Order: sequence, then structure tokens, then C-alpha cells
Amino acid sequence: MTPADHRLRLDLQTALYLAAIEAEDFDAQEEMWALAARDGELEEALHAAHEGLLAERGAGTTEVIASAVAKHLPSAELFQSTTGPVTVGRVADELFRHTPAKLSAAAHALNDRLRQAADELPAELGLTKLTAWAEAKFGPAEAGYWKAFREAALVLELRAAAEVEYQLAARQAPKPEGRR
Amino acid sequence: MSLVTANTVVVPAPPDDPVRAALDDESVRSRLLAHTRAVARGPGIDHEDIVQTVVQRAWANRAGYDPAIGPVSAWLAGFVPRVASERLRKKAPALAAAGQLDAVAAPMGPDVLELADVRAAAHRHLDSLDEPFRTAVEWRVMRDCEYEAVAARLGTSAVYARQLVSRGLNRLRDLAAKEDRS
Repeated sequence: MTPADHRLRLDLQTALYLAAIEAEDFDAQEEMWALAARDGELEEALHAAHEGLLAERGAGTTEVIASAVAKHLPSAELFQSTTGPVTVGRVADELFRHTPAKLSAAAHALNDRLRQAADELPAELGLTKLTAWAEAKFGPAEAGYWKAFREAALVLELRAAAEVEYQLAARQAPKPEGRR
Repeated sequence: MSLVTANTVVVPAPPDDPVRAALDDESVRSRLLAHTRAVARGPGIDHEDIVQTVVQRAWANRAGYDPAIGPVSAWLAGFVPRVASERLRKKAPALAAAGQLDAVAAPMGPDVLELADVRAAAHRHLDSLDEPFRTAVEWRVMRDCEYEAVAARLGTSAVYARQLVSRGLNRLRDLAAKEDRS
């Protein structure tokens, strides 16, 4: 069997496993795991199939919810997962939804532009350093805008930290009986 | 050999127990949970409870694990379909009432195509596949590319590219079976 044959065989087994999951055919799934117990590569492929399936379902669910919210509650804010890096775009989105009263039209225009920016925030969020970093990247703006931007960035950072803590605190399966 | 110090006797660790080591391994538990979430769907299913039962059952049957056969992680994963099946069967009446049992278990059957047949089917039916499955199968099966390359071609992740290839291959299998019947 050539390496290409070997890969195709793994792909076919993975495809059959996916079909078995979707048909809720647990006997077929068990048979595949019996094969995987003797084949480390197949085991990895099956685990990867789980990841893909969960990612696919997650993406689908998110799209459905976002679409429903946008359609029926246009003024609502959809909380996205806060795991992952906080970006300039996310901070600008936060400012768009919770805009301080005293921002100028120029600041609003800059904020609209920044909503598209995927740059991660710098580690240091002191006002002076953040302003210098942001103006070097995106151009100058009034001091009030960067102050509001920094406050929104801190809110998102705190929200992200809280979510990570929540995930860490999620309950674990207890250890089996008889174990020390 | 036991080590004796001034105040304590340090008992040597028990012989290696791969099942216990795996059950202590957070990454193995995470994979079991992902596995459970992938195979058991529907409202009211407690995935962590299924994992807990898998762990208990594996522990009770640990004498049945033979390291000579293969990795303990796959042996553990083999418990998931059975436990998930039991849980779903218990919930079946409620799910049926809620209209959730729309997928009927279908046998996988002996119609696993030979590799040459798969390649031939890919050539014959590629144009019948919808995008992005068509590109995924073409680049993986016919151009023999790694998933990363397929993903780059499709502008997606390698994980999702693998899903697309799997679904494309299953579609090819259906098309080949339909062709055989007609």
C-alpha cells in the first residue's frame, strides 16, 4: 500500500465514522473504535472528526443565533465569546454600542474605521502608552477618544478573564471509586 | 525496594497502571468529553454524566485492557458509543415525542469501496459534488494534498477541511451506490 493509499484508507474510515455518528449508529462507531485501538493514526483521525463536527455545529449555531437576533432584535447586542485575544476591532465595536456622549464626529469616523482592525491590543494598557501605540498605527485622535477606547479595552479584558476563570471552574467528572 | 528514612517508610509506587494514568490525564478526559458531545445530541443530554459513566465503567473493567493491543486512549473511547447509546435509548420516548429522532440508525453495510473504486468514483462523479465538497475531494483525493493545503485552497481551517473531505467522500459513496443500482 502506498502512502497515498494509506491516507485515502484513513479518510474513508473517517468518513464512515462521521456517517455512523450522524446516523446514530453506535454499533458501527464501536466497530471503528475497535479498529482504532490497534491503529494510532485512525484514533487521531477519529478524534479530529469530533473536533471538526463540534466546530461545524458551533459555527452553525452561532450563525443561526446571530441571524435570528439581527432579524428580530436589531437593537440588541449579541455577546460573542470573549476567549481569544482582544482586538482593536472588538474594542471599537464595544465603543460603537456603548458610545460616550462627548465624542466628536471625527472620533466617530475613526471608531468606524477601527471596527475593521484585527490588530491585537498591546500588553500595556496605560493611557499614555496605549495612545502612543494607537496613534502610531491608526493616526491621531482627540484625547477623549483614546480615554474611552482604553476604558472599553479594560472592560473587554476583564470580561475575557472572567470567562477563562468560569471555564476553569467548570465541573470535572469525579474520580472513580477505589482510587487514592 | 522500600526506602527507609529517619521517620518514614516510603512505599514504592504501584506497578504502572495505564488505565489509571489515562483517567488521571486531563487531556484524555477532554477528548472523552468532546467525543461524547460529538456522538450524543439532543435536548437534556448531560455529556459530563456520560463521561463519568464511561470513566466508572472503564475503571471497573480495567483488567480487560491489554497494552499489547493498542493505546489505552482508544480503548477508553470504545466505551463512549455504548454508554451514549444506552443514555439515548433511555431518553428515546421523550425525544420521539419532541420530534427529535429524525435520524434513524442506518447500517454502514459492507459497501466500503475499494481504494481504486473510490478514485474511479471521484473521477466520474466529481462534477456532481457541490462546492466546497468538490474542491475538498479534488485536492485531497485526486491531487493527494495534505489537509493544510486543502484548507489553504478553501480558505478555511484544516479541521473543517477534513470535515468537507469526509462529507464529500460519503456523497461519492452514495453516488456510486446509486449508479450500481441503476
